[in-house]
Amino acid sequence: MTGAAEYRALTRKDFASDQAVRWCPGCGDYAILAQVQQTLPKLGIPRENFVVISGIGCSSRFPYYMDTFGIHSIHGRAPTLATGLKCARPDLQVWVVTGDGDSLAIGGNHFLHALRRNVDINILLFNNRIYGLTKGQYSPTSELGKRTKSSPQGSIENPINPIGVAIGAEASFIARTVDMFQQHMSDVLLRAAEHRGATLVEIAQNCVIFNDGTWRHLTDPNAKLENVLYLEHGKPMRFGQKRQKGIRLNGFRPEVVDVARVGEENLLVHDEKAEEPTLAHFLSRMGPPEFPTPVGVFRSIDKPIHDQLLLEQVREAQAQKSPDMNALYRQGQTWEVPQDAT
Amino acid sequence: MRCMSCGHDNLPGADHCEGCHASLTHEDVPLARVESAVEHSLSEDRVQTLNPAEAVSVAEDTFLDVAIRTMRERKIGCLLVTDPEGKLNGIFTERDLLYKVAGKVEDLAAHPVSQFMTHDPEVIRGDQLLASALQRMMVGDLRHLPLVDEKGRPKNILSSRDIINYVAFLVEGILEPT
Amino acid sequence: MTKSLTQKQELDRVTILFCGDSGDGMQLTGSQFTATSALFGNDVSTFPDYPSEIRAPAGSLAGVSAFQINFSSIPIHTPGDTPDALVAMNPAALKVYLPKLKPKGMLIVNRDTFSDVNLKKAGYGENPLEDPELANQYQLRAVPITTLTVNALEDVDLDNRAKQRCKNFFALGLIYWIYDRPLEPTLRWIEEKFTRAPKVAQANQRALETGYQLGETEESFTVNYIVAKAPTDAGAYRLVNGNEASALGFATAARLAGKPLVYSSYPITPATDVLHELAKLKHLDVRTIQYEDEIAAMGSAIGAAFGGTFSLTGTSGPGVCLKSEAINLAIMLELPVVILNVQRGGPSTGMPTKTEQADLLQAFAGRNGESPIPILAAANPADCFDVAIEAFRIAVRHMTPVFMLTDGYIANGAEPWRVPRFEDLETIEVTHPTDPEGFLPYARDESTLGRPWVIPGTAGMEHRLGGLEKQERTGAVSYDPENHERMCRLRAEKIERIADFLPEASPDGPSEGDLLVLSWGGTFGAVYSACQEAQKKGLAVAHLHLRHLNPFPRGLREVLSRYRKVLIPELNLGQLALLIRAKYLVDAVSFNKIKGRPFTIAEVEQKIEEMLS
Repeated sequence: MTGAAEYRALTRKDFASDQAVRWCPGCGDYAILAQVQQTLPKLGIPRENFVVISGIGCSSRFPYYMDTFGIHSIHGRAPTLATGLKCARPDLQVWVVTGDGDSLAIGGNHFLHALRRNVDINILLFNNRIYGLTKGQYSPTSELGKRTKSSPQGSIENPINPIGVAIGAEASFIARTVDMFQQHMSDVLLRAAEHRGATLVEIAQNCVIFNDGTWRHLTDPNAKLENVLYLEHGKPMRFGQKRQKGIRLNGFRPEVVDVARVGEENLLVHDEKAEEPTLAHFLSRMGPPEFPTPVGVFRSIDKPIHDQLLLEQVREAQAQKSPDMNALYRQGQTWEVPQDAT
Repeated sequence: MRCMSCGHDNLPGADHCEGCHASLTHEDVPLARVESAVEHSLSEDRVQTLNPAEAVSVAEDTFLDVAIRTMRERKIGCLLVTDPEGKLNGIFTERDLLYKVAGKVEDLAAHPVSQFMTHDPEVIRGDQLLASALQRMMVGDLRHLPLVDEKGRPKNILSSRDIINYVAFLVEGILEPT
Repeated sequence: MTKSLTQKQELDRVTILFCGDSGDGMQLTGSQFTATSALFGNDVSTFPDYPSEIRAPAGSLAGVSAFQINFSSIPIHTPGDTPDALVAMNPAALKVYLPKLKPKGMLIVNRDTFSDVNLKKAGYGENPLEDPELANQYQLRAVPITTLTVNALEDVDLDNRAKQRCKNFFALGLIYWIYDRPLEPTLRWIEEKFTRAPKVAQANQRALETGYQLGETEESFTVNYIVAKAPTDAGAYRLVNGNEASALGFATAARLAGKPLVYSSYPITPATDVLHELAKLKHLDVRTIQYEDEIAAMGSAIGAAFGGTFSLTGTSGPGVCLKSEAINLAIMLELPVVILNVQRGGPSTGMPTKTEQADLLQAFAGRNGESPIPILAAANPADCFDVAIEAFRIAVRHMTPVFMLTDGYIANGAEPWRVPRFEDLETIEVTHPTDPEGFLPYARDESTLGRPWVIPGTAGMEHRLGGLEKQERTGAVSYDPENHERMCRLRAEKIERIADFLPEASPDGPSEGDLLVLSWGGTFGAVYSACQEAQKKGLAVAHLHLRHLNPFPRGLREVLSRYRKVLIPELNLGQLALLIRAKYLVDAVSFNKIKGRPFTIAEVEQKIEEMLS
């Protein structure tokens, strides 16, 4: 066994593998990869304790480009490998990299249950609102009417949004960021890593070939200030070039208002830690044309953690009963046949 | 559920007791709703719950043809026959008509109803239990029971149809159309 | 009351079938009789037949519950072809099981339950007890068991319903007298189990003794059947069914390696009890996780194996269908995972509570691409313990997922298991390399061709695995044509080499002759017994039972060639036969039964005779 590695601070280079990255030039995934490689070293965790598990899709090429332990598994099933791994090895830091198709179409069931169980894993969902790897079919997050190869006359399906599904699954940590928001992404990733329990980080990602510009309203420097609502816990919800607009609750509906007219004290204040997900739910449905798109941490609450509870039950049982295999074998109906029996 | 033989506390739905291996499959199946609702009602509810209809009374000397016409017009199967003080002397029912009058009495206008009524009929009070009423009707083969107040004055009639309707109401959710 | 002397008759083997409504306590009766017989020293083999519905109306055909026990003074391997005695507690039970009773068999019936209502529920127009033919064909004893039980408990302070519940002990007592069994073990058991309810204990004991006395005093019970002790190796024994034995085996395997066991699964008949048994073993660091579906269970099993624990999943046929993509991932990742399939009647939902062995080809080839995987099958309930441990040994030594096949019959049937001493079992060596120098994820061990099991948390050895084809040795993604062929052949060769570590094929009986009967899985008991009978008659018949279906043991080709004919009895339409014929070019005869029931010894004996005529 090699001696313990000398402690030195890890850098981005430590997390980059030698594989040539094969995403299309201009793909949003490059930015995400760079940010993840920058952020993981900051966690102060030895590199060998990270595991990145992906499913199938362009997003799922991710593990190959990270010099950590990793598995490129099968379509939609990454959360199941991650759960099994975390329950076997609660000491590891487990990241799931998935896409809108991988996690909400074929993987919808596992996505739901991983969040419901609150296993201590981090799910990064690259949402580009399209199926990239298979060359351009619509996904569960694509808009109604979207024209693609498999929907030449426009998609006839209603989309869902990952944040809404996560709320329904009772997720304990839900956040959204954007591939181009470098600093913001870093902050959100750090928060997700620190959170104990299942985290969902939706990353609005641009597929430059099959769905270019789907998030342009968030990334275009001229438009973005009017279209993005930065969520901050405890602060009133304000946005706009001069932060002149705000969100107020009118009965059961949120509405966009002029802060000057209405007064800051009447704006909705963001509360990550709210017991009920109602506020997060309102936020999950906000988007153009009427609303800005909220980014940041929607919800961050403490809930019992699956892998921790599992280990606790094991420890409790071990404290109560000794691991006597011979006693175990002799449970139930036993009898002895003496030596001299004929 | 707790084992009825050895007392061991088993998980719900267990087929056999973990303590003594007794079969639990007949112990945890819920009783049919029908039995309990109807049983419960019959033993708890009072006759007045059924809101029996107001009785129609005629004087003792009312002639048969008038009595019969009254029954037909009012669409009832039973007439109370009272004395001048309003006391109940008898009842005249469809059955009396069928067995004592039809084909036997020529001139209906010539006979008073008191001649063919059932004298001193069984009665019941509104505050008595339905189970009581049911028993009386069964034992006496009656289809009608006059309700009297504390002074013995008849006010309403309880008919077997009232009971049928009420039981049907109790088991409404379970009855299947045939 | 005096009675004419009882006749004593010695038998070397008796099969009794207890049956009644599910509320009549036949499982309890059967298991007590079994325990008493085992303690007495007989060899035993049992099979419970549970009702098909969760809660059927009392007295209905769907609610019949049965327990068959075979006990003997000679070694036995099945719960018996047909019962010699039938104890029927109600008309529905009689209706269902009377056809199985041997002609002139003992027929004990609780006449108290043969009311018009119950007869109607059982589909009887007339009361069968009143048909004189019944008494002609069988030794009919119609006993008013309920009445006699309640009468015997007259002075016991329990309500009528509680007294009636004791009738199964009455029946047990009577049967104990007929088959000359001691009362003490059951009396003691009642004492132990009913400490919280002394009145019930008293009632049960009294019912048992009264039933016994009935045998003693009733004229119609004229014979005591004696089944002597069987010669048994010294040691501690325990009654165990296949699912229990499998669970114990898996837990043992993990302990032998000093590892936690992670069991990922989803409930499915008839495998669910494995989950229930393992869920009780947290004190051994056995972690059971119940997933949202079968696919999640297999995904989790892969994750847990990647993490370095002993990992497995258990299911039945339909679950294997769902898991197939993930099993293929495990094959590509070359990780050790055990996949238990407790086979049941198929295809599709099939017959969940009936036994079959028709998933062999599925295990062999039910995946896309060239996906070789080792397959082991257990022969009887106790064998499940050994096979479970061996499955893990192979998985870990060769770095591959492994299929373990059992079936509903051995999963639920019980027999004595010679309890091992944990200290005597061979440890399972596991190495997780920690030296980064020269490490390549797909470099292979020289003899096994297994790759190194490097687990997360090991500094300097970070690597990525995936489902895409990988380059030899480095494990990088590769679409190179030559590489792909080499990798396919390597994966196949890795599985073939498992045979280097297995004992050679060695048939039981003459080493050459007229007929070799080749069997696998839960048919062992019937086939072995049939071959023994044939050998006793001097026929040149040998029996080879395969535990390993992939790879086959070395020497099998040789063995097959030394017999004029090869017979393969299977509970399917010829799956092992297909594999044997294809691989060895031998004209093996496939003998098929696919009725949701195991072979009887007689069926196999008859076929053997047919083959030799």
